[in-house]
Amino acid sequence: MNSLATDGYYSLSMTQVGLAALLLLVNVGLSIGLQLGLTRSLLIASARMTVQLLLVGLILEWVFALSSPLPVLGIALVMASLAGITAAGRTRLRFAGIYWDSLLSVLAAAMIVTGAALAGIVQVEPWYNPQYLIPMLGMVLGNILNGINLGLDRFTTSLFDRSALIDSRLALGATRWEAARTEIREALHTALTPTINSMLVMGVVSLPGMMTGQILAGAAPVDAVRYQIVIIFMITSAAALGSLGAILLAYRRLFNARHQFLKQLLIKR
Amino acid sequence: MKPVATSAATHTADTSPMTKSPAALLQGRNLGLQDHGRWLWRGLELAIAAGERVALTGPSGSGKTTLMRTLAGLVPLTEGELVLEQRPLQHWSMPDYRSRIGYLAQRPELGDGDTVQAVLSAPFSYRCHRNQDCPRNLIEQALRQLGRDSDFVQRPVGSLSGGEQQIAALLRLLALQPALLLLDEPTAALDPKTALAVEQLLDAWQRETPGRAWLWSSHDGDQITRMCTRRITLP
Repeated sequence: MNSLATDGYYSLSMTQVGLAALLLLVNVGLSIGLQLGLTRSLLIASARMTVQLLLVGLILEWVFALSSPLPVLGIALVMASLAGITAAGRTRLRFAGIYWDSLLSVLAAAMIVTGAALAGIVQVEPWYNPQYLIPMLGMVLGNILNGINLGLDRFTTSLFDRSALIDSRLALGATRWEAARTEIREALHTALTPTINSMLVMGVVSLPGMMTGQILAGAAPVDAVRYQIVIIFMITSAAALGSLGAILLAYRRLFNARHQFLKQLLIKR
Repeated sequence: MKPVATSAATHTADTSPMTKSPAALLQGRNLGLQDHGRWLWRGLELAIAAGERVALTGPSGSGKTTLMRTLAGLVPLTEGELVLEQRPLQHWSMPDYRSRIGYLAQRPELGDGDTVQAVLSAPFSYRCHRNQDCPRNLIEQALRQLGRDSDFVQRPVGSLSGGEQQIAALLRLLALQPALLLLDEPTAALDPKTALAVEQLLDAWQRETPGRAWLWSSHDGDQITRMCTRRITLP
């Protein structure tokens, strides 16, 4: 079953992938045993992950053969939109427009950072080379998504829980910015903490997935590491840009120009 | 000291002066507020003149607190307009408007600051108060009137009782020297002795400068008789 392929790595059969899925039983067991209520989410997420990745494997083969920018950009747009919608869809509180805010922030942050990295740093030719653009964008998006989700969740719950405090600041003459800046700062902090934490232990505690993948596929570790460093800087700046954008857009919606905090716009899911 | 407030007269010239009562400090015209499709109050007319002591009464749930919050500019009106010092609310910068009106919530939030002193000085970091200093004399004098040590300002906020928090919030308001106080059940959390001291403090505050006024909501009829000369009743 296991044969070392000619290009330097063990290719996996579907049976082997199926065996790995058994590991999920640990999570399901824990969820049931401790009544975490996560079984359903776990199963749905696992099924989605598997189907999505299998499909992506097929699609990527086709995408990598593309030689014009439009379809590549189209795929990038779909990926970014899904990231934006997912980021906004998993906060405990929502408000009208949260999806637009999230979408806009994801698109802007991903475009700026991926564009700069592809054209300015890696200097890929042509700039839309899908073999580089799509995987790099994917990694950036995953981190923007997390950043925005954590940031928006923290921002909206802080505002909701502290609405009396926010109103009291406003009543004492604070502008909307003066009334919300503590909560904005905290939300941004929350959004960026996972990225910063993971940078601190990168390579010591955790071997990043992309680098591991490249090494497994036979790349020289020194090369893999250089790519990884570029990617980490990309995802850190993209997460910062994306979450800052989403938090500021949310702030603009939840505080009107008359310096009033519109708590009633925040709705529990 | 507040350039925006003093230029009020220039603004009144270009809005219809016929409908205004000249002495009104704060005027509400045709006020209406809708909450989840239900009118909390509608067609409400009110005027508080400079120097006036007005009570706000009405049964529980009649929207007294919401009216106070609306007058403080915290809640957007569904209908009607507010006029402060002859100048419609939309011509005020909201922070300046709010610095003329001191709103004391029923359960005030002290929030920003670990000690009473920090709580009292926090608003002075806001742009609209930046050219003022926290008036220590006024606070010390107020504390004496309340029968408290000046050590009170050194106390950690976490150690304050409900009544003491109320006092700290009141001191924070008075330090900002507003023209009008909106007091939502200001003594409900206080013991009778402190409540009387607060009444005396506010009485002295109001007499100190002509033109200072308040809107005071209370369930205590005797207090209203003592502290107010006129009442606005919500249906």
